Amino acid sequence: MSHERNNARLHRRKVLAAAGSAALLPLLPSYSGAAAPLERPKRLLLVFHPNGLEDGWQPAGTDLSSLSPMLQPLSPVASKLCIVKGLKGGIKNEVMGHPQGMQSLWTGARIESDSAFSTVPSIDQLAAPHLSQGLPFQSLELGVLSSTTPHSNTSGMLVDAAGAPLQAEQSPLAVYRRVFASVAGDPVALEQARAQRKSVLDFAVGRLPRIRAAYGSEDQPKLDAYESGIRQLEARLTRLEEGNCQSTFDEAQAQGIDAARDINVAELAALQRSLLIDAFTCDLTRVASFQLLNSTSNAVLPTDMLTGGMHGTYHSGTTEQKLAINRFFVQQMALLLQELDEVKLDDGRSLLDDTLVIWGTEMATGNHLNTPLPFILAGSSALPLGQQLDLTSQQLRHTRLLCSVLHLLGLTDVAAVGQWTDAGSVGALPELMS
Amino acid sequence: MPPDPGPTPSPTNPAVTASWDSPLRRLTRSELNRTLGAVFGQDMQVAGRLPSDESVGPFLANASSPPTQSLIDGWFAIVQEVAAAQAARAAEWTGCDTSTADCRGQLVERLGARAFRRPLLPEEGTELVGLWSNAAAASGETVGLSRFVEALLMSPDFVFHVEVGDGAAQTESGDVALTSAELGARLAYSLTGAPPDEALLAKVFDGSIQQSTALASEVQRLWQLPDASERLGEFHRGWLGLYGLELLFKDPALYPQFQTPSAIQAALADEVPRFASYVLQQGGARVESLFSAPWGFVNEDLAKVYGLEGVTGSELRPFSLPANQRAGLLTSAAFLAAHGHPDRSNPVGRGVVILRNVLCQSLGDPPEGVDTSLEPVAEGKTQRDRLATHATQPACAGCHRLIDPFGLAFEHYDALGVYREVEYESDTAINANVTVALGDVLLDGEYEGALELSRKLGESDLVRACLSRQWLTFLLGRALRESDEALLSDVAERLVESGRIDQLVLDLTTSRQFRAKTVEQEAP
Repeated sequence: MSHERNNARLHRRKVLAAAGSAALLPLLPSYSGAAAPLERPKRLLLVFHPNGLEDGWQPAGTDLSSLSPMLQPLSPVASKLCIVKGLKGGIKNEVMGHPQGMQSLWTGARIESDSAFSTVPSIDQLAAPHLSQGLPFQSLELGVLSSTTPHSNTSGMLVDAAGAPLQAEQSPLAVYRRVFASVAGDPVALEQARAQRKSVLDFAVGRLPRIRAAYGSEDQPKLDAYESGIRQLEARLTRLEEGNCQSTFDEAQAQGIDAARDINVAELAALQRSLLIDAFTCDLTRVASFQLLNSTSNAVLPTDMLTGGMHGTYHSGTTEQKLAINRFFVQQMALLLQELDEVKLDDGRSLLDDTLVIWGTEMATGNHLNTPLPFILAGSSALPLGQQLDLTSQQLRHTRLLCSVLHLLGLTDVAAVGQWTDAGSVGALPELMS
Repeated sequence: MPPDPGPTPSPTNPAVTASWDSPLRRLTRSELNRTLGAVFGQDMQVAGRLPSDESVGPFLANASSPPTQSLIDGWFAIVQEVAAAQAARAAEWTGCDTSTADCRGQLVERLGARAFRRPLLPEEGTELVGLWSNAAAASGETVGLSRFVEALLMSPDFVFHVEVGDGAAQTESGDVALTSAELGARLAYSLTGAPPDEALLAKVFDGSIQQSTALASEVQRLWQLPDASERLGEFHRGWLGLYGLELLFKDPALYPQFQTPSAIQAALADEVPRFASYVLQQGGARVESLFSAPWGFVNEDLAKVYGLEGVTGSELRPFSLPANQRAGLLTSAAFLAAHGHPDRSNPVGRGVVILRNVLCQSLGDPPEGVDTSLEPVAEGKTQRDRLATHATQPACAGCHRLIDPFGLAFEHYDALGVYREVEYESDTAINANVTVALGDVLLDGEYEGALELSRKLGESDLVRACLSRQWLTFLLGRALRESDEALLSDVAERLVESGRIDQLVLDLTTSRQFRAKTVEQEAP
């Protein structure tokens, strides 16, 4: 990524802030001037890969200046990491099922049945109205080979504020067209289009009363969500300023890549990363997630070690093969963090510095254990960076970490995340709230 | 929170507090493609980038969750593209000069009725013409037309299967008859996955679709259409758990044809839909045929799986299969491969899908905290040996004494469904003899492997009762309710007599459940 591109992006961001987001300014500390050491993170990014990390991934000491062999790809950003060690996941027992792991990871839900979806919102969706207030998108959910047909509780992990399963978009082309394609164009045409689309969407919403009157209480939430979704869309169309933000995404290139084929996994991940970074740089949203594969994905990953698919290898592969899968995941995460760190802002700080990244996975290792669930935080200086926090002896649930993340983002009135009510599950972690 | 919570429950608006048997469903991705295709007379494959569909039972239907913001945004992105593309080729489908008021009025009425699957209300027509004219005046003819199209395709009447019902026709028992347009749409989508065609619309417009004989004759006509083949394929994909075969993975060390994305995946995905729709549309539609036919649709890639010589080309065509190896759907490569591990068979997975989907037996999940991993695959240890652990563990035995026999009967078929006499992993001759003890008089007993078991399933009343449940779920796109039980036991009995699935579907589509929506209970 070149500096020229970064500067161009930043310029567009500033135009946006000046032209369209005046109401937001009190919430947004300026990028210029000295950075306060414990400045509140502006953005939240959830990152996921499935099936945990094999034993030995954790660095030996509390100081991250020396990383484990598995985490070596993260060396360039080691000083911006914080590892949280020893938390347990969202089930009662030791063995974590795929549905339970996925549905509880970001929500803290208690999932009793293999067929249940969480209806508890995930933390990104709890943070979105606060962080992305007034921005075009409340949040973006990017996936890489994350989808299944039908949608399932082992492929999805996020839940929106209405309790609906929120799927990641695994097609970079779809993300691009949704997020960026409507922004370009000449000013006069855009202005006309905006007015016309308002009447288009008003017509659509105008159909609702007749339908509402004919349906019962179980169906009203669908119509509520539809209406509020249309209104959000309408608000976005009237807010976007012409030409304020463009992605360098290559639409033609993306058209040639099948977003469902594992042979393209690295290429798809690169495209999704670039869209994510563009969306952050242009300040289109401040909440995003990046989901690599899903809990039972059998994608074949590009490593020499593998003959089988990802999930199958965890059940019947060798240790070396499992480690090869882990290395691929860590490399992907390292690329994402490094690219976020390469986008420099006015004051020399990076996009990563202003973002709270939480990297999690739905089970401890491929062996389905509930404890210790791996979590790596990154970015914001509000975190105890460069350290590994060992919480093993306290036997706490990961919901404490989820709650801490919300507190760090300024949602300090959140008493607990999810459905667990025992002391080990409720409230923020003091170790993170210094 | 939504800006407007909508109408509040009140004595004058009883619907809002009531719970109906038919939930409001959003179009599936496939329905969106085919509805757009019908509206514009052009094949459309645009819905693939929307979020995946949800399921009801084993079938695709969007009946439960509210739409997410990303769904609505994605829908809008598609709608913008479709509208722009269709406006650019207006001359090919509008049939009149779109700058004239007459033409706009006609198109609003015609396209509106197609997109909403009902005639437009007068005020809707007026608003659309106004919106179109304003946009055309400001930005030109093409833009005007595309804004009109956008308004139609973003409306909830396009996005959802809206069934308001004919309030005047409400019965004392709480049934509200569907309007003719709604009944026509329900019929067309349930049997063809697409909106009504011209012939059905004629019966909708004159109201004759409400008469039982006309409804029955439409069911029989639609059943034979090419669109119905697709839809029958969708039933069998869901019923037998065959989603995702297009992306199936098998260990390329054992199955070199999986080294690169290859044609065999497409053939596996189409094999069962082709076979089942042939049996149901042209082959007598008998339940037994599905479980006993010693033939299938095969191409060059599948011929290698089935051990057939001399089959060439990529097109699937009907061929006889070795009668001592194959009998219907459950011995198809598609079924066995979908329910096989990447590198070995999968007796538990196969047993579970047969019990749950084919016999409608409810199975719980493994109890919390039970380690479900079996001892590793090793020489001399057969799958049967490994599964024997289940019998010794009280936490496992309850369900696995039911599940495991239905899977072990299929041990002659490997990860891809290739027939074998010897289990590769253990190098042991295969024993596929099983004892079924479901508590069903007709089905319980000893079986020498999959062929005998499959043929018996084809004769089973339990399977017929289950098929009745699955078909009603599929046709209505909703979970079954207590109030459906009387209908289900009635149609299952008739299916036992007739043995014909086309008869079953006729019984279901002419039922009260299909023709009306019903108040189930007052919500608290």
